[in-house]
Amino acid sequence: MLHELLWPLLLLSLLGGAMWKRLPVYDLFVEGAKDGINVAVQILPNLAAMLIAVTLMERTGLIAALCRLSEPLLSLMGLPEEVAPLVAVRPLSGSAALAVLERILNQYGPDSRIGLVASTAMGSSETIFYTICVYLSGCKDRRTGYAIPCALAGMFAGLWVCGLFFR
Amino acid sequence: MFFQFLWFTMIGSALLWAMLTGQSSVILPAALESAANAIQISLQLLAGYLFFCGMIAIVSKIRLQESFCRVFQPVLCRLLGKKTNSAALEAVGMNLSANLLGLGNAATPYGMKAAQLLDGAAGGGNRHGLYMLLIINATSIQLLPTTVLTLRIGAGSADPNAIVLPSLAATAVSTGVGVLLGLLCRKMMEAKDAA
Repeated sequence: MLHELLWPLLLLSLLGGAMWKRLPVYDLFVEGAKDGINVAVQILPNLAAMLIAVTLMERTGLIAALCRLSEPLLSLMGLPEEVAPLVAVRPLSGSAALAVLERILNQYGPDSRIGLVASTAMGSSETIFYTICVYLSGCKDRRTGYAIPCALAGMFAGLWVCGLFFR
Repeated sequence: MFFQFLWFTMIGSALLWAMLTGQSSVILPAALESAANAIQISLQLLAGYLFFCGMIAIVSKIRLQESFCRVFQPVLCRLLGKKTNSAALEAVGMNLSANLLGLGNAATPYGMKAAQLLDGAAGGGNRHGLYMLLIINATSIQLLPTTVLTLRIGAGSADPNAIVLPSLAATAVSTGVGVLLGLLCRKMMEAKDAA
């Protein structure tokens, strides 16, 4: 299968290309991995905060209630209602979305339809509000014009495609 | 500010709901259990980051980003409008190519610089170009969703890569729809200004 060859081919061409350009691949990897530690350390408290909030909403049954509420909208787009919490937090916070995705993968399994749709939805969308906030932080005029509605419409179009892939 | 409001809404609504439905006793165990769960996930993510950030450090030195940037230049010129100056175009190109390659840390400073240039702090502002930069960034992500792959492998997936192609297709559609709507809005606003 093609997608089984994806990683070996990709990594081989990356490392081969880097060797050909006489780059110090080992030192570069170690430097990059060091940055990776910082990223993971920075994400832990954020993830804990969001995971606590998500778990509380889940255990008390609030998420299930909200899912039932949004079921007609999601089934219109061909998505299972269980991905509703992911769709709701994805544009707002990357850590919260990560927390929700992890709950979904563990509860329904990564290879179930729900798990596949949720993974694809997470992998194909962006934290719209946060990204726009950060990018405008250096600007004098922080109006967003039509950017947010257009980005949200794009996100929903992408979600619809996720549903098409896994039926 | 923003996260404060989001977090408070999430926790506050859960606490109220728990009291209303008589499940107050689940709160504390659930909170502590999920904090422990966060440690577990961040260990998984740490493993993923060690590997992917290491490899991405090599990607960033191989100068792929610059070649991607050059390929994008003509398309971006059309999307951002003809009057975009070359410095802004360059910054947007570097921002997008860094994002595509998963170089998140490199992408943000370029994006902020591009936004400032388009904002017109130094003269020659381009509001529509700025909105287009925001739309593209808010709808498009990296070619390979490495964090999702890490979590899928951690959850014991038999085929973690199964989502790579669908994710690419979904991203392409979301960016395409966002950009088209953005162009439409620009046309409409320009027509209104002209009238």
